[in-house]
Amino acid sequence: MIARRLSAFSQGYLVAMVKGPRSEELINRGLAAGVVFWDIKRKAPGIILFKVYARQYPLLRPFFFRTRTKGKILRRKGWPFFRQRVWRKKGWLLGMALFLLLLKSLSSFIWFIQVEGVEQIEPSRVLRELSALGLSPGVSRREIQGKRDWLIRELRIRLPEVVWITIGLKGVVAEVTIAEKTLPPPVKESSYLLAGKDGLITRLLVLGGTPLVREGDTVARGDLLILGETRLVHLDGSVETKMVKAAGEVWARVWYELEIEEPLTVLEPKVTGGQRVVYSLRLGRRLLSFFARGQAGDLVRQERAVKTILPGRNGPGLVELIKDTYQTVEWTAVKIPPDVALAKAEKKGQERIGLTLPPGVQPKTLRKSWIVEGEVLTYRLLIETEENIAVSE
Amino acid sequence: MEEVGKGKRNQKAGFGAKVAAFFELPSEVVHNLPRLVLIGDQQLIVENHQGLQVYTGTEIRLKTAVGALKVTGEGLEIKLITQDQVNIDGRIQTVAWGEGQ
Repeated sequence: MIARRLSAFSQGYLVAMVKGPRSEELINRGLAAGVVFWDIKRKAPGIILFKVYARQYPLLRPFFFRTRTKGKILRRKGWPFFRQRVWRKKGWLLGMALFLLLLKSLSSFIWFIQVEGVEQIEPSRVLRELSALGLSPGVSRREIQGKRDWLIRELRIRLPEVVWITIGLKGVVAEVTIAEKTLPPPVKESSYLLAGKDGLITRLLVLGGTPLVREGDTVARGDLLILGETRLVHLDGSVETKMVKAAGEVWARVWYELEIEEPLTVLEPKVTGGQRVVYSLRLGRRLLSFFARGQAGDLVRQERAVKTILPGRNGPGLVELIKDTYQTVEWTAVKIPPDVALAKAEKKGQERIGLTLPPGVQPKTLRKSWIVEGEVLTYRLLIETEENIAVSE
Repeated sequence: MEEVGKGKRNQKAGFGAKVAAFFELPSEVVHNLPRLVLIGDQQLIVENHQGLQVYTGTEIRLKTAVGALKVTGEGLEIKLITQDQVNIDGRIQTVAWGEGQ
């Protein structure tokens, strides 16, 4: 059926009506003459609608008379009739073609430019720069498509505040999407780097500002090392001073001197024999002594042993058994050999180095010396380091 | 003469039928009998018809070699009619052979 419909459309067909009591006879006669009918419908008594090839309809004409029926063409359908109808409206067709042509040609140009994503930069500035690069309303789409990457690259150079740009073409609209850089807040006041310690400068690393010292300079604590200003010399010779945040590292040789005194005679307690032991029970903050034995003199040394019976949640136990031992002692002077005193002093010196030097700084050279004056051994340490002495004001 | 003629035709038809049966030939081809294809109650295809006698929305009567074929139903439409074939669409209720040619 589809093949027949396609054939009918291509050849042209008619929707016709036959009216009369002998309509069926007309169809029979048509069939005998080779006419093909389809979509036959009884519209009303004596009226039949049918479709027939346009070229076969003239074969039916004599039969209308012979069967005393009336035929009427209701509609002409198919390509030949459509072509005729369109051809009759040549002006309309031409207008439509011109309109489509105009629409097609106009849609091949960029007529609008949209700038999106800008907050700090003025869109008008972006449009100005784009116009200078050749992207403005009225430019051919094809031209822009060809140099899209170049446009993006050039625009990024012209707009240093921008981190990312893309240009998309949607119909007659060029969409320019921009992502701005998040810049640090501008420096309102200059800042300086000062010497945190006395030292001899060995190397400089200036990241911002103007250095006021050189390698080999000796600086004292508080001296200005890097000034928070930069000078820009323009092509016309004018000098512009700009305040910046001074940044950098100033490495210097720094010396530390440590002195440790160690006595050569010390007093040590000596137990003489008298002893008193006291047992107490501590209940919270109350201390109850419940047993004691023995006697001790005036000069005693106390030793305490504690056993927790009921631990509290925080701090000392809630219930503790305490044993205090008091021993009678007398102080006696004990001589310490110088080599033992020196060993003690060296040990203390090592501990002091760790506390004196800044974290991460190691001694470069270490000079040791000691003297014995009276009953005291004085141990001296001269430490040399190399460290960054620059500190912000 | 008519009786003799009729007798000859019957003899001829009888002979033809025997030959067709012997060679297993399709009867509709040999005797030009109508061939009906009924698809559910929605479509009827009739081949070897001899013309349209009556057509209304509820009845279609076709002339065939073995008599009138009466088709009744609702919304009957002739989708296609050629010299050899008729396609009838609609809700077909009865297909019956009527009297006469």
